[in-house]
Amino acid sequence: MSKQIKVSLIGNPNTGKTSLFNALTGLNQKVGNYPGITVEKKEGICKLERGVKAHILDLPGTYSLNASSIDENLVIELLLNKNDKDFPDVAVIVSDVENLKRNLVLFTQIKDLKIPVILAVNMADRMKYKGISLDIPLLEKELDAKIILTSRDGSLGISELKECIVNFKQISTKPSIDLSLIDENYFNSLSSAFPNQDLYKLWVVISQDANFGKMDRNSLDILDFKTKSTSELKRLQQKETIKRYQFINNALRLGQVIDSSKAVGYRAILDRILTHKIYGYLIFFIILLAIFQVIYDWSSVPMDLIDTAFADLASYTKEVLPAGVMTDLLAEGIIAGIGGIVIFIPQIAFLFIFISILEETGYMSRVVFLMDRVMRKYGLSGKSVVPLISGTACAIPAIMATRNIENWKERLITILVTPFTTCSARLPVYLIIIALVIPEGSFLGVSYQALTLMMLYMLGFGMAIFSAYILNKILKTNRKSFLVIEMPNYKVPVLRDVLITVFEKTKSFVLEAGKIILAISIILWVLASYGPGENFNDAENIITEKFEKFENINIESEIASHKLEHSYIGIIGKSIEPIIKPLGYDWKIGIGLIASFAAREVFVGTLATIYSVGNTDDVESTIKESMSSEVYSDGSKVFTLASGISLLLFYAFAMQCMSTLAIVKKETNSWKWPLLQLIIMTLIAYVVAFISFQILN
Amino acid sequence: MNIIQEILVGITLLISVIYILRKYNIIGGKKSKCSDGNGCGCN
Repeated sequence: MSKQIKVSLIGNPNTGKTSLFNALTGLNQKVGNYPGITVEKKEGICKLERGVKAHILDLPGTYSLNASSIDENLVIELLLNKNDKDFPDVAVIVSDVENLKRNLVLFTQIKDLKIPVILAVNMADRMKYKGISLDIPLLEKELDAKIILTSRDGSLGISELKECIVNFKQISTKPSIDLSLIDENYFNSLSSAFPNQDLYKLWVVISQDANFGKMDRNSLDILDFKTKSTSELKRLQQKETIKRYQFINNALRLGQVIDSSKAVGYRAILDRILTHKIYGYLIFFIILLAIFQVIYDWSSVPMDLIDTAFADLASYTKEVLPAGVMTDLLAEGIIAGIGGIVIFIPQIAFLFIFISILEETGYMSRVVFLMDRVMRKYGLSGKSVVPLISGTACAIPAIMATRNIENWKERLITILVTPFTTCSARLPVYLIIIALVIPEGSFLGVSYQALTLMMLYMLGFGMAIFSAYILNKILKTNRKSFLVIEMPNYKVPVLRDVLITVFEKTKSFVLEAGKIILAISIILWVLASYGPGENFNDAENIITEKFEKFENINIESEIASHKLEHSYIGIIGKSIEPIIKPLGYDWKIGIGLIASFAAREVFVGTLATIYSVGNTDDVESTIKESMSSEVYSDGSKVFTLASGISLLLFYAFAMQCMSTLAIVKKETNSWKWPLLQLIIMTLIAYVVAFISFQILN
Repeated sequence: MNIIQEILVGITLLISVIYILRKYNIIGGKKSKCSDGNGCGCN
C-alpha cells in the first residue's frame, strides 16, 4: 500500500476551509469527534496525480497559535506533537482574500514550526468585487511560500493545490521570524537551555496558558531555566505579534493592492437591516415561517410515497415468505419500524438544507447576534446563544459546546435549559401528530400545520429562556461572559457544500437513530406478540365465546386486540395507563412515551409496530392511517385535537433522551443535575399536557 | 419451519437487546474511543 501524504487544513474561522475540504475530498469523508473534546473532526481522502493519495484533515478554525479555547488547543497540540498519527506532512493554510493580513499571522506561526506550508488564498473569485489585486510571484518570494489562489466553489486552483501537495518536499521550511529580535537575551538563554529543541516550538509551549503534551512549564523550571512571569510572557507574546504584523505588512505592501473605489459593498446595508432591533427579528420570523411552510409543502408527497411503499413492502413480505413468526416480525416489527424513520427523511433533509443555506450565507451569525440581544435581558450570557441555537440539531453537541463559557453557574444554566430547544429528534413526533390533528387550511398563506410547527419551535426556545431567567434568580450569577463573534461576509451558498452537509447529517440521523429504532421495534414486537397466562394464549376461545351471539363483529380483529392487550407490552402499558390517562393518552401511546426515552424519534416507530401487530387486515396500513383510525372501545378517536396538542406539548417540554442525560452527567460531573433536569422537565411536561388536554377536551 | 422461524426470532431479539444494552453502556463491550465519554451517544 502506498504511503498517504498527511495534509492538515488550517485557517481562521470563516475562511472557507470546509469548502476547500469538500472540493478536495468530494464524498470521501467522514465526520467524527476528537477524543474527549467537543470539536468535530473531518477527515477525507483526496486522489492526487501518479496514484498518490492524500489524507486530508479539516481542523477547527483558529486565529493563532495563542490558544484560548479547546478548538485552538487541539490544533496546537497536533502541530506540536510529531508522534501524533495526524501530524501533517504538509499544512495548507486557508486564508480569506479579504482578510489576508489577519489570516497571515497564523500562517507565519505555523511556518515557524518548520512544517511545510502551502498558502491557499481562498475566495479569490471575490477579488474583482473588492478591488483587490495580488502579485503572487512577489508575495511567494516575500513570504517564502507556495501560494495558490482558490475559490469556494472549487473552480479555481484545486489542481494546482493537489500538485503542490504531491511536491510538498520542495517547500521551504525556513521560519518567517527571527525570534531573537523579540528578546535577544531570553531566546538565546532558552536556546542554550534546550539545545535539542526547536526554539519556536518551545516558545509556543511556554507561552500558552495551558500546558500541552509532556513539555509543560513546570518541567522546564526543573531544568534550571528561569521562566518569566505570566505578565512578562504576555508582553513577549505581544512583541511577537507586532513583529509578525511588521513582516506581513512589508510583504503585503509590495504584493497587494486594494482599490476601494472599485469595491462593490452591500454588506453594511444588509447588516443594518438584518440586525435591526425590529426588522431584524421580523425578517428572522418570516424566514422561519417560510422554512416550516416549505418543509410541509415539499415533503408531503415524498412522505406519503414512502409511507405507502413501506406498507406495500410489509404486505408483500407476508405474501411471499412462508407464514410464521419470523415473517410476522419482518413485516410488523422490522419493516414497520424502519418505515417509522425513513418516512421522515424528506423533512429532515429539507430542514438541514435550509439550516445549511442560512449558515453558508453568513446569516446565522447575524441570528446569533440578534438572539444575544434577547438573552441578555433574561440573564443568559452571549456565549449561551451558540449552544441554544445548535440545540435545534441535537442537544448533545450543544451541551458540550457550553465548555467555552468560563463562569460555571452560567454554564450550568445553559446546560440545564438547552434540552428545551427543539432538536431534530422531536421533529418526527411533531410532524406526524400535527398531520393527524391539526386541520388543513391556511392563515395569510401559511398553513395551520406550518404555524403549529413554528409555534412549537418558539415555545421550546421561549421555555429555555424563561427557565434560564428563573435559574438565574435561584443560582444568583453575577459575572457575565461576553460573546465576541466575527460577522462573516455574505456569500452565495455553494451547492456542493450544502448537499454534502445535508447528505452527512441526514445519513447520520437515519443510521444512528435508525439502528436504535430497529432494535427497539424488534423488542417491542416480541413483547407485543407474546404474553403470559390464559388471557393471551387462549384468546381465540375467549373472544369466540364472548362474541358468538353477535353478528357484524370482526372476530379476527377482536382476537388481535385482546391478545395485544394481554401481551407483555399490553400489561406494561395498562399498568401505566392510569398515570397518562388524564393527559388524553391510551396505553399504546404510553408505551411510545416509555420507548422514546431511548430517543424521541422512536415514538413513531413504536406506534407503527404496536398498531401493525394489532392489525388483522391482509393489506398493511400506512403509519398515518393506523394512527388516525385508532379508536377507544367506545368508538371515539384516540388522536384528537385535545390529545394531539397535549402530546405535542409533552414532547416539547419532557426530557425524553437518555443520551442527553448521560452527557449532562458527564459535563456536570454529578447525577444531581441530570436527575433534577429529568424530574423537573417531566413534571413541567406533565402539568402543561394535563392542563391543555383538560381545557381542549 | 415454525421452529426455525422461532429460533430466528430469538436470535434477532437477542441481538437487539445486546445492541441496546451496549449502546447505553448498561453492559460492557466496546469501550468508547473518547477518554472521558464525550461524543458518545450522539455520534
